[in-house]
This record gives sequence, structure tokens and C-alpha cells, in this order.
Amino acid sequence: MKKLLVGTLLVFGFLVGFKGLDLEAAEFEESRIDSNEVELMSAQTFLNPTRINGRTHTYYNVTVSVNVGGNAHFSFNPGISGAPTRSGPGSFSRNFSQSWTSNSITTYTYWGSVTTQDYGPAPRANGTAVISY
Amino acid sequence: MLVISTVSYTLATLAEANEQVTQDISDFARGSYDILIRPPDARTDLESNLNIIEENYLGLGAGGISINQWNSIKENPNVEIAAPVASIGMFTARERTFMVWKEPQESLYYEVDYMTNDGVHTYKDLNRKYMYDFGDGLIYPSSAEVTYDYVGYDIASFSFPISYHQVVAIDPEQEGKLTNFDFTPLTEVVSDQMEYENGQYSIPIMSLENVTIPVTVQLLIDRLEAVSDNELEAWNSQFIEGNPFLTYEKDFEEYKRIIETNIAPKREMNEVIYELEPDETQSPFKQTLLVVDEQTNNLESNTDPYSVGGAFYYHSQRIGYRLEPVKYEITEDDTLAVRQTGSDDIYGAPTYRNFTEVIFYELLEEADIPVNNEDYLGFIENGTFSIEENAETLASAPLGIYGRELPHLAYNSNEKLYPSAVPGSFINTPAHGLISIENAEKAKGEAPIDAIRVKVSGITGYDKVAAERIRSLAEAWEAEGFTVDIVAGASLQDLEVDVEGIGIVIQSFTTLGAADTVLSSWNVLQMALTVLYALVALTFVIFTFFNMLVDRQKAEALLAKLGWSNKLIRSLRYKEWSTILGVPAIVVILGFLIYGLGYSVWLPFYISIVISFGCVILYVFLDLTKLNQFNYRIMNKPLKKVVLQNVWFYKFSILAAGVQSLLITILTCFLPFFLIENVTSTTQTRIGAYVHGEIEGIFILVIVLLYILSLVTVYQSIRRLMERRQAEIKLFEYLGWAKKAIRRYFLAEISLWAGICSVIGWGISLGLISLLINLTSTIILLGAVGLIFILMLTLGISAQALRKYSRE
Repeated sequence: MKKLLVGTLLVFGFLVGFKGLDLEAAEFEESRIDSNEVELMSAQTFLNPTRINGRTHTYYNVTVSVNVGGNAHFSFNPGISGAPTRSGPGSFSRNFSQSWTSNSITTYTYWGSVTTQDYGPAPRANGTAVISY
Repeated sequence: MLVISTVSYTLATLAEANEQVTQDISDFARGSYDILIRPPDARTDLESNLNIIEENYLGLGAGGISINQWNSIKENPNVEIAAPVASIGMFTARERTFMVWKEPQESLYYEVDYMTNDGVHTYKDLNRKYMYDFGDGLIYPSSAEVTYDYVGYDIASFSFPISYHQVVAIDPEQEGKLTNFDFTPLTEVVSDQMEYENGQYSIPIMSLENVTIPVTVQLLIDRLEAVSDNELEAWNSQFIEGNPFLTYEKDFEEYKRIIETNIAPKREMNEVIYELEPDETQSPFKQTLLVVDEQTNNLESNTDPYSVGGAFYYHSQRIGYRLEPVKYEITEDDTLAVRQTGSDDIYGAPTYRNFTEVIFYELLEEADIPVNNEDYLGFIENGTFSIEENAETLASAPLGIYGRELPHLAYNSNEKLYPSAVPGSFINTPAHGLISIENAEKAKGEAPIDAIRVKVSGITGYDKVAAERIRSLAEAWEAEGFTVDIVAGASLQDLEVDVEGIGIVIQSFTTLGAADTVLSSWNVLQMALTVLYALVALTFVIFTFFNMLVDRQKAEALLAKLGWSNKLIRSLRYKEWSTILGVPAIVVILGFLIYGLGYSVWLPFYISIVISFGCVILYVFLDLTKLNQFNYRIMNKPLKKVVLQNVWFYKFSILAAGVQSLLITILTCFLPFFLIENVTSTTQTRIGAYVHGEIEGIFILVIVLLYILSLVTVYQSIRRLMERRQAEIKLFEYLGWAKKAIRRYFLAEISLWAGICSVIGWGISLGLISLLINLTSTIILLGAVGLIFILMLTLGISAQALRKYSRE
């Protein structure tokens, strides 16, 4: 009798124990695929405007911004061959004044990027400038 | 005794000097590597003509040796190190800016002037750069480039002047063994957010420490009066379509006019000027943005991206320059001259060699990215290096890329010269940047290597066995078509170079075969000294023996008349000569024996035995050949002049003095110039100067002994002549001749034969000089002075001897 009682308790004990393990594994899997939470943890670069339909030799103001606070370093590249990337520190956003030249209709791909002290580099954001003469 | 002792000592001293030279060469002639392998036809004109190479000569080259060929050399079992060098070209560091903070609404005028210098001249950027910033993005720049670099609002940024630096590829492992320096940073993976694709395609580079970045910046800042809307409207009305930038592009002169007449008057003319220099941490390939430190007037690197702004360019190393070697003009007297080949467009600085621009990859139009990412060439600084080449060594093999000896002006050694910021200087700089040889093919094609420096295994010094082993390896590689040089014994030398626009410059060059030059020069000098010494000593000994044998003749004739047998006379003669020769020989040999016991120097002892034995043989020869048995004969047909008659009559007595006069003249008119020429050519190199310093005392000693021995012979012969003619002198005195007249009579006679001998000696000297070195008018003149000196000396000695015998 004693033997039967001990055996039954062991079997049930294993069953309950394994069931608990399954539940924990399922919970862990669930937390890895929570993509919404990951999105919220990284910084994002924004450009404003992302499209410029403009004229040659005219200055346009482009703002590079980020969706998180704290110290950040903003960079802007106008997509002009031979022109450098300009950058500067700031918080949330930074303005860059830029002009493009064209003898006809020319499309330039400009981009901005941000590196923040808390979240590191954010992916680049691209914009298009269609410049007419 | 004089001859045995001095000749033994001198020959021993010369042998000791020879040992010293050989030991010095063995100890110091081996550098850090033994053989230099280069592609076929790698030698420059300078190397072919003068056997010298410039400092850092391996920093240039068009390649010619493949990676496979290098691997094959490296795997040779006789090779300990095979360190390749591949010149990549001259590059600028990443183009970047320096900045000053400002309030976004502040109205300020900035003017920037760039300057570069070469240590003597300063060159100013020919294009004036300025920016009128009225705040909130309202700017009027001097050019589009200034706008590209200008961040604006709270940051005023301007480009840091570019300067070009030599980049060389090495193998980190082999170069590390050769130089005992850790080059592993060249093998590391690098990344940088200010580099194209975060440095994914970039190459790690190590910068040379403590290099002068030859640029300075003058920054002028002035306040601007605020601009009203009406003023702005008035300005815009003058620009084409109200657009300043369009006016700049279409009519630059009109743009300038509007700026000068309308906008420039807004300046308050209360400017502050900063003379800015890169701070001491700036290395050639430093890439961080710069900030003006208004306290120290330095341009400092700021590595904190959250407190600095500016502009930087990804493709700064897309274009590089390959320099050609400097074309030295070699003048008739082997001095070097360098002519200006052109001038730079930015600074107007002179260039002294041709160079070609190399575009390493193409960019996509209107995207500013490489057509093919794999072709991208960009450097990320990953550490620095500092290697002292040629420091404290007599014959270091020139590593060819680390030489830091700067040329200087001839008239002022403190005025050092260095390349300005533009490519094309006459100075070969050390490698300012090192990259791994793995990247050389990408930059230079299939056979990128310009040279391989090989250290032969299992050699400890530069002795005969080592030299043979090195030579056989070198010959094997030469047979494969490479240009091969044995560099053991290479040593620096300073030469004058006439550089157009700068003047006479003292520049370091390297000779690859200094050890051989030192050895051959020493051998020639040793031979010259030994021959002269042997001649002087032999003349002295023959003359002494000859006179002694002649003196014996009268005594022996008397003994024969008294009935002595020839055997008895000969026995007496040998007994006397045993004393005459034996005593001094024994004294000298004993002296050198004691010297040998005291100082463990045995060579003089051995030589004194040989010389003593030689003197005995010489005596036996003179005795047996009966050369001494001659009689003075009255001339059948007297000469017209008494002086000539006397000279002819006493020709045997004056022969020794004549020969010694001739030798002393050669000693005076030939030996100094020969020595100077040899010493000059030897001491041009450091090892030569060292070896010469070691044996200089021996030279002086030998020459002094030579003079002493020669003058003693001259004095003895003249004294003997006067002794022989003592009765003649007395007769003149009885006849009432004044002492002055007697002196004149004898001195005229001595002048004649001494003059003839000295002139012959002078002629021989000039002949030898023209054969062995270069005969110049200065040498002829100085030789003539020497000739007169010897003649005066001979006459002085004669007058002294005459005075002695006229008194007795």
C-alpha cells in the first residue's frame, strides 16, 4: 500500500513538474518574438522634408530629427558628388541648409542619420531632391 | 738599432691597425638585414652613377614583385626575414573641418587663410576664404566649397587644410621581426561611423608619430551689424533672380562686387585673429573633427561626437599621387643639383619632381557612392608607430621607409627642411602611414612589391664566411632577374645639394657598400705607407752599411800591408760587424721581448727578429758583391762648372741623401693629398668615420716616423760628405775665403743635387696624383710649396753640418 502511494505520488509529481516546465518554455518563446517592444527600444531617424521639388542654386532647410531624447549627433549628406557629410550635436533635431545645382532636371538622394548616446546609431533616413533649372 | 726598432714597431702598428679595421667592419658592418631585392632595372640614375641612394628611397616605386614571388623568397631555408615594401602613394588624411561655436542668431564674419611651409619658406593659400553669417541660415560664402563645409547656425566650420602623406604597405609579421615593433593593429577589423558604410570596406592604417603637419591656419573673426529687411531686399535686388548662389555660379565677378560694396561694410572692423596650429596629438592620418581652442591657439581633436560638429568626406583617399624619383643633376665635380619642375595651384609652392594622380575607384554620378563597394579605398587610423632608423648605428642597413634625418641649410644646420603640404617636394619623407601588404594588390595591381629586405639566417657578424654566404644567396636571386644589393656595411653620408629656390642644402644619402669602400681604402693606404717606409728604411740601411764598408777599406788595406792574411782580416771584419749589427739587434729584440711580456703584444718582437735577420743578409750581400769597393776617380774631361764637377765626383756619397730627398718630397707632395682624398671618401660614411677615428693616431705616428727616418738619413749623408771634405773646407779657410763664401760654395753644390732630386720627387708625386686621384691646380701649387720647403730644410741641415766642420 505504502509502495503504491509513493509510486502514485512520484508519477503525479513528474506530471505536474513537466507541465510547469512546458509553461515556462512557452512564456520564454513568447517574450522573444515581442517585436513591438523591440521597436520601442531603438531610435529612429526622421527627415523633413523627405522630398524636395526645388530649383537650382536655392537654399532649402532640411531637418534631421530623432524620436528619443538625450544627447545625439546628427549627420546630413546632400548626395552631391564631392560634397562632405555635415554633422553636429543636438537634442531631438538639427537643421541643415542645403542647395543643389542642376542644368536640367536632376534627382539627388540625400540622407540623414542620428547617433544617440543612449541608443547608439539609428538607421539612415533617405530623401529625394528633384532639382530643376 | 734605429731602423730595426722603428721598422719593427711601424710594421707591427700597421698590422695592428689592419686587425682593428677588420674587426670594426665585422662588428659594425651588419645592419638589420643583409640583402635588398628589387624588381629588374630598379636602380635610379643617382644610384647607378654615384652609388648612393636617398633616404627613404623605398617609399617610392611602381612595384614589380608579386606576392607569390615574395612568398617563395620567404620560404627559402636560408632566409630568416623577408620583409616586403610596397609604396602605395601619397594620400591626405580624411578631409574634415575645424569649428568654433557661435550663437545661432549671432552675426559674424569669418576669414580663413591657410599656410604651409617647408622649413624655410611659408606659402599662403592663393584663394581667400570667407563667410558672412548673419544668423539663422543667412550666409554669404566666398565659394560653394566653403558652404559645403559650413554646418551653420551654432557651428562655424571650415575645412582643415589637406596635406599629403606617403603610405607604404608592409607585412605586419615580417616587418615586426625586422624592426621589433608590434604591427598587429594593421590586421585588426576596424569600424568608424564617419567612414563609408561604417568602415566595412576600409583599411586599418598606422600613422607615424611626431610628424610635423606642415600647415597653419589664420582665423579672423569680426562682428557684423544686424541687417534690416530693407537692406536684405536691396541686396537681393542686385543678385541675379534675387539669388546670391546663382549669381556666384553665373557671374562670380558681379557676386564679388555686390559682396564688397554692400555686405562687407557691415563689418565692425574689430576683429580677433587666431593663428592656429594642429596640436601635438595630430598624426598624419588622424580623422576626428577639430575644435579651436581659443586659449592655446591649437586645433584639437575632439572624439566626443556629442560635443563637436563639422564636415567630413568619405572619399578623401579616392585620389592619391604617385611620385617619381627626384631627377638630380650631377655636375662635373660630382655635386648634386635639383631643379624646380613646377608649382602647386593652391599655395604656389614649388615642386621638384613629377607625380601622377591616381584615381583608385569611380563614383556613381549624383549619388556619391562607389560604383563597386569592393573597390573602395579608405583608411581608418588604428594606432601609431615610431621607428628610429640609423640611430646610433654605424652601418645600419637602410630600412628605406623610416629615415627621419631632415636635410638642413648648408649655412645654418638649425634650419631644417621638410616637405610642405603639397606633393612634389625634393625630400623623400619616411612612410607616414603603414597598411598591411594584403591590401597592396587592391591599390597597386598584381605585382605591388617594390623591394624585399632579406635577413640571412644563422649569421652573427659580417666576417668573410658571412659575406660569402650572403653573396651566394644574392647571386642566386640576381640570376632570377631581380636587382639585388648586398647592403651589409651600408652607411649614411651627408652631401651638398643645390636646390633651386632654396640654396645649398645638406642632405643625407646612403651608400650600400661602405664596408667595402673602407676596406679597400684602408688597403691602399696601408700599401702606400708600407712601400714608402720600406724605401726610406732600405735607403737608410744601405747607405749606412755602404759607408761603414767604405771606411773599413782603408783600414783593411793598411792591415794587408802590415802582412795580415785575407782570412784574418775577414775574421776581424766579421767580428766587428757581429758587434755592430748584433748588439743593436739583441737590444731591440730584448726590448720588444720585455714589451711583449708586459703587454702581451708579440708582433714587434717577431718583426724585429725578421728585420735583424734581413739586415744581416743585406750586409752579406753588400760584402760579397763588393759594391763598396770603388775609388774616386779624377774626371778625364772636367766639366765647365766647378759645382757640376764636384757633384759628379761625390755622386756616390750624395746618392743616399739624394734618394732620401726624393722620398721626402714624395712624402710631402703626394702622401698628404692621397691621404686627404682617401680619408675624405672614407669618412663620408659613418662607419668610415668611426674606423678612421680608430686608426687616425696610427697614421700620424707612422708619418712622423717616416719623416724622422728620412731626415736622419739626409743629415747623416750631408754630415758624412762634409766630414769627407773637411780638408777642402780648411784649405778654403787657409786661402782666406770668408765663411760666407765657403757656405755659398757648398750650398750651391747641395742646392743643385738636392734641387734635382726634389724636383724629380715632385714630378713623381704629380704623376701619382694624376694617376690615383684628381690633379688640380691647387695640388700643383701646394706641391710646389712643399718642394721649396724640403729644399730649404735640406739646405738648413747642410748649413748646420757645414758650420760644425768649419769649426773643427
